[in-house]
Amino acid sequence: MSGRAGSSVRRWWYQRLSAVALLPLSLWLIYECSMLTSLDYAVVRAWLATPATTILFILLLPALYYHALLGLEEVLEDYIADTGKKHTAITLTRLLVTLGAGAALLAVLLVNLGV
Amino acid sequence: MAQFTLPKNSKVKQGKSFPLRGASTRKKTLRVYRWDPDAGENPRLDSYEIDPDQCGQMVLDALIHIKNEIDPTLTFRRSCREGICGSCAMNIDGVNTLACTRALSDIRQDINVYPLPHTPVVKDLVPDLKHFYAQYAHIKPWMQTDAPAPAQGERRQSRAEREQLDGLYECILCACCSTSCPSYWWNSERYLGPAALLQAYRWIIDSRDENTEARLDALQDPFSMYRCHTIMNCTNTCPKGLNPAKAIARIKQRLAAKAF
Repeated sequence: MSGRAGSSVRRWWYQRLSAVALLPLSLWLIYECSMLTSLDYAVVRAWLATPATTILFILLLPALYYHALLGLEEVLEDYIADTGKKHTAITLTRLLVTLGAGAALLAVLLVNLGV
Repeated sequence: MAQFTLPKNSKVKQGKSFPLRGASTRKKTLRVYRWDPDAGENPRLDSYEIDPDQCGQMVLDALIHIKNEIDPTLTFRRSCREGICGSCAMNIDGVNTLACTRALSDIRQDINVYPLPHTPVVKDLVPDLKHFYAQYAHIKPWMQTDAPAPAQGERRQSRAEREQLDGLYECILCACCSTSCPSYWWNSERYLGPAALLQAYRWIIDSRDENTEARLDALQDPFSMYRCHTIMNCTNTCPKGLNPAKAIARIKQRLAAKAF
């Protein structure tokens, strides 16, 4: 995290790359949502199960969670002065965000497979 | 965690009032932050009524008028009174600027005058800038070369190379930008701040300097520069109209290009 030269430069890059990736993906998501005929469970589930939507979410979710993680890490780095607490908070955040991303991806895949 | 409230002995109390003697149609009130390290009291806001016709046009003129005519205990730094030395940088009407270039007539309401934010106060409007200057020294603000100087004359620059320094060399190190930056408030021990980073870029972009790579490498860690989140307070407040945020963005571009 802190200290390693070059890691900040990479993070700066990845933050921008994920932001650029999120632009078209978010627009696609908004468009898809606006095309839904109703917010009924069965309708949304059927929509999620289509290959195009599954692909959209497989692209969107990692970019979204990764971008959010980078942002959260910045906030923790800024405001927690104590190094030990800072690293604990960052490690916990990484764990939670990874779990969240994994659960979301798994859910999308399970819906697509009709489980 | 960052500390968001003032400790008890730093809370600013209401101070003395100095009403205007005689009448004036253009009466102006200055509320000035006062703190004396020897008194053992909390800081206070003294209010002074002045007649702008009795002094010059700028806030600094009013402060000098107060010190000479009303209250000689008021302490502040000043020197050139024309925006080139940076001594009289303070927070006026909520904005960091130079007292000598801020016109009294531009401020309609009562004028609040505080020292530069988030700096240790030496006395009244005088901030301790030791750390700020140390950070400036840290970026090695001098030309570093391996090649010996030409036998006759100076190291030459083309007109275009010299133009790269415009908007950078004009910085007078008044500390208005750094002390307006929230990232600098929270992490000034390790984050260099906009003033030092603008100066760092001034040497990175100088065609005559031969230590560019080492200068860039020194800013790669998470704190020296990457605490900048492009808040832009620095650019908004600069009394010289410079753009430290842009200089920092240029350094980030150089580092990003170097990484891949």
